[in-house]
Amino acid sequence: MNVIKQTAAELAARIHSGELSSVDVTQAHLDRITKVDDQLNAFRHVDAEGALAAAAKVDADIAAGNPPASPLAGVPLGLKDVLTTKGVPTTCGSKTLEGWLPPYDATVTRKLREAGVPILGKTNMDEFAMGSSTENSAYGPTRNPWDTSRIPGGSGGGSSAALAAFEAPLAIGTDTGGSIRQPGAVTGTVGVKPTYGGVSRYGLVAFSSSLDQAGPCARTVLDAALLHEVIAGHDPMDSTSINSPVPNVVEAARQGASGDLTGVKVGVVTEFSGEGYQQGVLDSFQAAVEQLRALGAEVVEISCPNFAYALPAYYLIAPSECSSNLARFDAMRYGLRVGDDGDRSAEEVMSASREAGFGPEVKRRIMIGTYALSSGYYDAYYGSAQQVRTLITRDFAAAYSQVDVLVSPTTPTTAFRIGERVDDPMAMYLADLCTIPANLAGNAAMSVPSGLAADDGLPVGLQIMAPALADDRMYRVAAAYETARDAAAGGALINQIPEL
Amino acid sequence: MPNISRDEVAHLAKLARLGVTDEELDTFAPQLDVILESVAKVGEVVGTEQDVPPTSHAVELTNVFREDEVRQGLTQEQALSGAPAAEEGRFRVPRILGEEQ
Repeated sequence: MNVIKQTAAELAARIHSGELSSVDVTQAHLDRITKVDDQLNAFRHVDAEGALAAAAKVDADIAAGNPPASPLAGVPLGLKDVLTTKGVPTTCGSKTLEGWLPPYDATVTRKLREAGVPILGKTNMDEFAMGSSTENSAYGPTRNPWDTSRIPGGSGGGSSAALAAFEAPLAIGTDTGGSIRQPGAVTGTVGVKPTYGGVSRYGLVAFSSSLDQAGPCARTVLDAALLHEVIAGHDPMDSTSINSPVPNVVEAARQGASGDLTGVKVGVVTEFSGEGYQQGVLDSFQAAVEQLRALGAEVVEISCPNFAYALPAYYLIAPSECSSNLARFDAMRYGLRVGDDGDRSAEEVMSASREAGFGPEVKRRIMIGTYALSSGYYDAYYGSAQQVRTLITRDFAAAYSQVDVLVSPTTPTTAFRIGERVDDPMAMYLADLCTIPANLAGNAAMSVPSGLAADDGLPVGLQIMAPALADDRMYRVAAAYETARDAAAGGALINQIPEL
Repeated sequence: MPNISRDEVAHLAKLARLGVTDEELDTFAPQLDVILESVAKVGEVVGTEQDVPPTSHAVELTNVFREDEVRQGLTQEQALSGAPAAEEGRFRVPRILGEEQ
């Protein structure tokens, strides 16, 4: 039995029965990281000592006959480097935060610790989560384990690559415009953006506060559901956290795995096809839709005409919020300070520090946001974008009055090559075309592997979207689809990944 | 509408307290121009719709209050632990006023 190839659910069962120790499981993943991460750069920081200490505590608990702290107790995880970890480096992929040791844990971090989940380390990401390829990390790009000349998606490419390379059975991502789902799609893994407000943002370094949402990343739908339940829930420390029960996503995933979708209405978003979509992606998507139909789902086409304006609205709203949020990096209280020679003013030091600390994409977005919010341009840009947000929310409402879930390809293309889009920001932004609407509306959405594209042999993702607070619906559909797809293909997609 | 010049990028950078090099101005000006021209598309759809209210946030936000009770926060040492410079238990910052002020 190869420990690192097990699912989180399998590992948890073996750890809780005493068959495996969490220390051994954690060590096996640390060894894997040591062995392959030079080729991938998925981890920014590895905390072997902290992970093994957490694992030992789980083992001691189990040996003492205590019930496990959670259904995932003892199963290790990679944490995106945008969530604070007390005393453990948190860089957000930026030079600005190099060497910073946060004085507090994010709520997600705290929940993971309380659930007995050993944190292997912090995963690489585009700087401050701005990007679709992880090439914007100040610490070098992460590479896709399916083909190391290609991107692993972004901004959470470190988390998705770590999963696909069996460096971790679980990971946490954050999704502002697709940063969990797009990396999931291009690495053949599962990525979930919960309903906005479903998971606390306390300690999640803010990029675009009205869109940012942390969520689970895993290799199976059930594993993602188990992790979802560990991190979700109302948090008084986040005033945007929703005070209502967490949808029962684990039960939905288990129910879905039985494979029956009779009575479920699935809407295919007609806007997400055609020009700009890779044929191999469209073919894989079509096959997935047929699979859903074979499982008993009723499939209809749904038009959401305003989705065509989601991308431009997003690239105004997110930069606007980012220009405001990143003003906190003023070189005064924490983070990089340069040019403080005793002569320069605070303002000059701030400008010099931000010049040295931020990479080109962060600078571009701060300036776009500054422009969009400036007087004279506000109404035409930020104001109109907010109105588009209303229209998109209405499109979703109309769609969900007819169907239970919506589906589309997660991304228009498979993983592109490192360097291919780095000098063309608009081409890079197109990677988020299908994922952005759910963020603007605050709805739930996820990506589940749908196979390999026939034209290039790289993973494709099926996006399943559901109304706010109906996360369980998409888990049910995803689990049913995963079970049927894997059965038809003779096993999980991840088993086809080449050896590193 | 947009036609972003080097000077405009320099102005935006100044507003955002963001130092930029001459080389960056040359790169950013055409890039910002392309981006802004593309996102300006939002004006098209809104122009054709009557009375669309803006959405700033997906969930309705209400102010959240709590009892005004003393709670354990960061210690002074913790709060200063990431400071680029500290002195006598305070953040030490560069001068904020000019000579003439």
